[in-house]
Amino acid sequence: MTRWIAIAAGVAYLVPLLGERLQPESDRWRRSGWLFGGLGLHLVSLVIEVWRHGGVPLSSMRFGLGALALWVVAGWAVLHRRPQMESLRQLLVGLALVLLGIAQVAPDAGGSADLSSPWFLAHVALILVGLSGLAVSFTLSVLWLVVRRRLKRKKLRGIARLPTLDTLDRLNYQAMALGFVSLTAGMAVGAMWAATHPEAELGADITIWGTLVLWCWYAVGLHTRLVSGWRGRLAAVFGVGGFVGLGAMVTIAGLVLRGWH
Amino acid sequence: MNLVAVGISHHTAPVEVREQLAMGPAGVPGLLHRLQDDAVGAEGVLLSTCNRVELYAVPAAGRSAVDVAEWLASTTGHRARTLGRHLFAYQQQDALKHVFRVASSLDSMIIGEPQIVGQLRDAYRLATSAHTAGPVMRRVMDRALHVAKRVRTETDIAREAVSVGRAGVELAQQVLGSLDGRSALLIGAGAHGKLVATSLLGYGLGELIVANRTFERAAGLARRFGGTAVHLDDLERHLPRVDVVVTSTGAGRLLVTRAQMARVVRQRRYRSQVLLDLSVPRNIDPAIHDLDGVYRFDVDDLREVAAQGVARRRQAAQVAEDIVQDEAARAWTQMQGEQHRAALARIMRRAERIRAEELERADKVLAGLPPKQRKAVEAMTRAIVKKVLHPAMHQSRTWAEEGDLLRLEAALTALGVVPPDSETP
Repeated sequence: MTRWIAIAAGVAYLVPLLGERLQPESDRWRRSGWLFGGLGLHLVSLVIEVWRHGGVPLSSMRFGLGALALWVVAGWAVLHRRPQMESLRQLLVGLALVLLGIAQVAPDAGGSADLSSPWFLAHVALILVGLSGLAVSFTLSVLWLVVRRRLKRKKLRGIARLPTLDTLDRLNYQAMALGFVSLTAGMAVGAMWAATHPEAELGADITIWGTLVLWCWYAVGLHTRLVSGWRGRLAAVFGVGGFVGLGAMVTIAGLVLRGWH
Repeated sequence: MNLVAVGISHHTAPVEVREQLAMGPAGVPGLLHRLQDDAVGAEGVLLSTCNRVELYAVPAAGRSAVDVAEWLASTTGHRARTLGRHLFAYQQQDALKHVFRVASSLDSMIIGEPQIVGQLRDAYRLATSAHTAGPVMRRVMDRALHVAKRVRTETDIAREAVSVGRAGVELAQQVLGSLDGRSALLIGAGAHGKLVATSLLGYGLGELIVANRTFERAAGLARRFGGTAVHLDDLERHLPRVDVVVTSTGAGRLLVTRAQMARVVRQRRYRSQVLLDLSVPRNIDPAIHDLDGVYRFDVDDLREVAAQGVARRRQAAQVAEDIVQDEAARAWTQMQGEQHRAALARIMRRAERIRAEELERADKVLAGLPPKQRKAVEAMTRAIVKKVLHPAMHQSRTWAEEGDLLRLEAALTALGVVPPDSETP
């Protein structure tokens, strides 16, 4: 059942995008009801998933990707009142749909988290917030590169409808910083939990080592910006590269090694 | 309801004619008072701009749009015959639609220009302070301003740049975001450069530096724009501190080279910079556009943006026309309905007054009747009034729906119903 609810949420995200293409003059596709209705259904599907597993099904890739997609759409909900953000919505909702789609075919194996440990819950919540921040940063980076490319190639038709480079760069920095801080905190909390549970045997876990590499990547990106003042293209490259690496890690952990810890 | 819109505009009259009719704010109240004193119009608003002189009025009883147009021509010292071919006159719903089109900038020389709303608001304010904007004009003007707002928010009519100056601002904003507190360097005193500088300042530019081959000219321009003048030889010193560079000179050579800008980019730590080269031959090396963080546009790019803006505004204007048409039809029906209800109320009030007076006159005879019978008499008189008036009410509704207001007013007068403004509350 949760799969059908998640698909209904995906339809609620997708229909206004298609509707605006087919009927650009109609207002009905621009109503916030689609976004928040989709978010509601999405949330319900995840809550049922938790209830069905008797806890947060951490090692279920379906749950993880579904939750990540929810956070990405939530990121859009935060930004959607800003002007000239239409193109960003298409990218963010597109990314959420891809994540939601993969989640529906991803393995649902694995037990649930130790809900008696608040450390574990904090670890999961912080990591998910971190990853969604990085996903939003990725989308903003892609859009920054698209706008830059159009300006450099002097394809100026309708350019004013796209967000400005400065806005995208600023939002990208904020999303990346939020993602990085949350990821750092999530890793620290997870490390504390692992230290008290030696039986978990997480030493060879690819997710941990992959996340550490990602952490270093984003740390270098943010450091370069803060200390050297580099922004724009370099920041966008860090945003795109980091998320592509994250995608690779999740794919290997989820599909090849059958589950993240 | 009776409404007319008469006058001249850039569509109907050349500037030589428009300038003869144009009048400043000081003269407007006097003209509007004369409209009422000469018994030509009951209410009026006069809009006088460089592109139009238009009078929106509620004509006095028996006056038509042509009468008001002739009065306007004669009052401003023209013979209606000489001005006749330039004058336009709309009435009723067409007049209302015209006011909405003017307010929405669909009738403007540059479609979508924002000044007209302010000018219309000023005209309305003048009429209000002169007490010539009565209930009808208030409804018309409030509705026109509402329609103008709707058109601006729901269409792209005002969003696109249609001038070179605005196109320069648009490109700079596309890279830098808001121009608030940003700085710009204007090199040269060419016409396009001045246009762009003016537009940049209009969008919140914080600092303008002016450089020119002759320092005195730079100083003069800097004074005009409230900026700072610098020597052209000091260019490289100032380039790193500005976000926008505009060149508009007749130097005929490159004033900003790629090597120079490569150093500037490093000094600025890759913070974005927009270079607008409006000179022909060009003053900024086109190869600069390849540098990271630097965006160089020339006059052709700006013209392209402006041309696209014009095309998009034309598209938006079609959508806006539909909005105006829809709003005008709806507002007219609504106002007619109000007019009709008011007319019915006037008829009923008069009939009720007569009925009450007649009952009072018969009071001595009726005094002896028991309360039940007295109530029956009262109910009977009410029913008689209602039945007698029914055909008149029905006909007035038909005339109101058909917009035949002159006949409606004439019928009301024949029935002895006084106009609303002479009624005692």
